[in-house]
Amino acid sequence: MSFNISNRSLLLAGALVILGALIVITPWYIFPVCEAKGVSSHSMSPMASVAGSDQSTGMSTGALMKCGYTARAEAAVGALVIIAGLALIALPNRISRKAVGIAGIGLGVVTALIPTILIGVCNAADAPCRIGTLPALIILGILTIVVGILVILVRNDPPAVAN
Amino acid sequence: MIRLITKSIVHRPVRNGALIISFAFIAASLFSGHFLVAGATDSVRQELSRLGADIIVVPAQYHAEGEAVLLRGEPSSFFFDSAIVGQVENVSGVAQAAPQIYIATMPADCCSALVQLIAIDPSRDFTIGPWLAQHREMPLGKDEIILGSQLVGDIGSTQYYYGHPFRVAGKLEPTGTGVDVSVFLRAEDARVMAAESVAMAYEPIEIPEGKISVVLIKVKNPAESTQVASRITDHVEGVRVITPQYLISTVATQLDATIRILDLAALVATLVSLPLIALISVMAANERMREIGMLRALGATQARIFYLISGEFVIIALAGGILGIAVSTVLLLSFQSYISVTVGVPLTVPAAGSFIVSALAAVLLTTGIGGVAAFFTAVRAARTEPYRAIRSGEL
Repeated sequence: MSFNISNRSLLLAGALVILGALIVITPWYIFPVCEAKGVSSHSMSPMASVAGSDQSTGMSTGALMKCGYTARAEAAVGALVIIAGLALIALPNRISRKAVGIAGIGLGVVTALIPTILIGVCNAADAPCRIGTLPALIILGILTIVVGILVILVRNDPPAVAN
Repeated sequence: MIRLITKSIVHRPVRNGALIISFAFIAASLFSGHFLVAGATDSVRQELSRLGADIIVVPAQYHAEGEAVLLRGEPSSFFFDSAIVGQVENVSGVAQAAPQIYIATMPADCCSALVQLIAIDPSRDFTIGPWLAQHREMPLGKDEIILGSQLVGDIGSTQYYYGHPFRVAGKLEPTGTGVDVSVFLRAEDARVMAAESVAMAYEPIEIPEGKISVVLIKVKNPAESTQVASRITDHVEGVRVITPQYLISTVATQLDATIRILDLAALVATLVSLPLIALISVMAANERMREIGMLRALGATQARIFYLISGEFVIIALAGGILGIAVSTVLLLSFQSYISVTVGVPLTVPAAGSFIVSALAAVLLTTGIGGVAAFFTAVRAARTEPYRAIRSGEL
């Protein structure tokens, strides 16, 4: 089976698949959010916020923490980035390249916006989701945007020779 | 010549891309170590400047806790007798002594901050007083608090600690240390909060009467702070002193292992890549032998050929060095708090001067490695006779 795909497109498609996989696994394994560390707000005492610090999550008790929602949303966005990468391999024509590039840019923007504006992470300055997951997802989002731009801009080189 | 070198680099993107990445790794390893040391040292200096203290006196048995509060912002509650303040003030060389009470808050969940409440005595304080005078022009009022830079809360908003409401009166500048996650309040408000906590809070806090946690000292002559510190240890029983020099050396010791690993990584990368880069330079020169012969036949001098071959690797190394510094800077700045928590040292962005010096040193060293690796190949290519060079390119 031979896909008529150039080396550059293959490289960019691979980059999108890897970035998508990293977006999916980062909040759970690489820089895990609070929930992935085995603690959820369900274990919180209703009096806890007045027991000591008022520097809490900003979420009501009994609910999933912000970082938990962020991790779930990023899993969906990461899966879409992987699909975009695979689409670039399966449909290596000029129009689909542009479509995948635009989708990549959009998904990169959403990847960075979810932990910053759309959902957010926990308020605490030293929360694992704030010091690890947040910067990692922003960097992954920016890299996805860059790859998306490259998918649109880079011209096709001759198809790879199948050995 | 630059155009010729650039064309040659662009002509082999995969090979030269791999070389740039290996040079970037060397530069990043070298630069990261220096960034961490400079960032941690600057952080300690900024904190001490924020606290305004030349010496910090802590209970002897809570020396480690005091250090953890100052360096890493690990909240802690500990006390000793307030009579110590008078004894410390009587030591020669001490200009001012300001007692503080440290109260740690309880975690609400994994995502809530552990906050260090620092209760000050406004009549003696020189930590928050000068800052307030500069930013607010009025002292800390009843039930008012000043937040560290990393804590959440707008000025004018109300926050609850142990069930007691406080109004946020200001927010401090970042220092990268424990001060960033501390809340400053008046000692009398802290005692009211502690008394109310029995009824208001899930877990009450007790501040024993006549007890304090630390004494911040300002010495008459800062040059004599070490002598004053040893006089305090000699004359006042049951206390330990923390000086700026001690904190900086503690941080340096804690970072030592990390720096060694980074330097070792740079050394290993250099040792592995140097012969590889030399080999690649030989291959590259052999590939271009015919071109070199033609250039020599057309009148190019030996020096020109030397610069052509060595210049290619110097430019690749330079590009790798700059890439390494750029990527490591982005990663170090993005994960500053993560590194600080993981390594257990305070961390801030180093001063522009030391940052630029470290970056330039790493780039120059990496470029030098590139130049050294290609030197002998460049010399050999330059010395090859034009006829022999042209013939060597024939199959």
